[in-house]
Amino acid sequence: MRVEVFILPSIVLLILSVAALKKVKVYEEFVDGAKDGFISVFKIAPYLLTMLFAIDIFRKSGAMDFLIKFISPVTKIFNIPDGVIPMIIIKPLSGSGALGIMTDIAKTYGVDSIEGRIAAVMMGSTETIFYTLSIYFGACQIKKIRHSLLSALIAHIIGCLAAVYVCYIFYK
Amino acid sequence: MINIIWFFMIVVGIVTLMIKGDIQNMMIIMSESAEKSMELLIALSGIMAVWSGMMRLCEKSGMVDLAAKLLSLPMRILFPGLDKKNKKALGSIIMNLATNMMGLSNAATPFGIKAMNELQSINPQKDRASDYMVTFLIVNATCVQFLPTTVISIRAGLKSSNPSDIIVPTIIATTAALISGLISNLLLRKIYK
Repeated sequence: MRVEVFILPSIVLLILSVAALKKVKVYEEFVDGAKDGFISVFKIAPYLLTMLFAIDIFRKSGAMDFLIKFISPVTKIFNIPDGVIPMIIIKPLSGSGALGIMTDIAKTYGVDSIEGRIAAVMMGSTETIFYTLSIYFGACQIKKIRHSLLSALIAHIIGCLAAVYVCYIFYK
Repeated sequence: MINIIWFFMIVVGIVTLMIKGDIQNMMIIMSESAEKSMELLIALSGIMAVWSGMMRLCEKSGMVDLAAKLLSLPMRILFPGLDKKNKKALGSIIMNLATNMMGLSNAATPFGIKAMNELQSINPQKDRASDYMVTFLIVNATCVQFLPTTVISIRAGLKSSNPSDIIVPTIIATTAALISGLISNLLLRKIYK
């Protein structure tokens, strides 16, 4: 048994105990939250389906293999598995796209394969940079964004590399 | 941007199928894709509802406020002097990050926009991002999420043997991204005047 197995049950126990101590109506609030959960899946459903549609055609036609072959000389230097290349490219551009790619990688290589896990870690490691940038700077009409994009992209690349090596350490 | 990528993925895919002479498989790929998506979404909605219920309990029991308190000191260091110039901006930044950390992204975005508008009100050059704004954007983009509920839910939906075992690696990778973002911010802010 590894220690990680206990993390999740402990979190759940902690959340429930704190809520009960603070006299939160645990059952009723949970139901309300569950409603939000259904609504958010309902909201992402069309995006995920649309992205997976394009990704499936791209992958199953063999075009994805060409793209991976094209980029892999660079990623080989850093010991990045070929399978996760699409994730690195899509993540800064589109959240639903990245979710689709993550799902596709998990289905192609196996959800508990090293590729599947690296993709999952990458999914959680940085935000959709271009989206965040356009929303936040758009909200206050900033035109000169200075080094914000470059810095965020550097963070993204380092985060991706960290995801790869941390997964190697944890799962090999 | 995503419009172009989406368009090209399909066009390149279809052209590749045509060249390989596999075009009769197109219909199978299309219907399989839609069917698999629906299967995944149904599996996802159940577990996602459970996690959202958990997150609601966190919210109601004041864990967001606790996270905000913990963030207060590091944020004063990252945004020096901001609490004197505009206290509301610092408050909104902290609330944005606290809600982000709890995975409440729907609640986080309004705080983020509020923070940006407050920062804009003390910005001397209205069309140019201030140092505070750039720092906030980087911290926001690399914010640690303690429970990546969507990722865990999808992994559960795809029958992973341990859907949540990516939590610790994710936190480590995000921290690496955050630190490199902040260092590059410090180095680059002198160049991009």
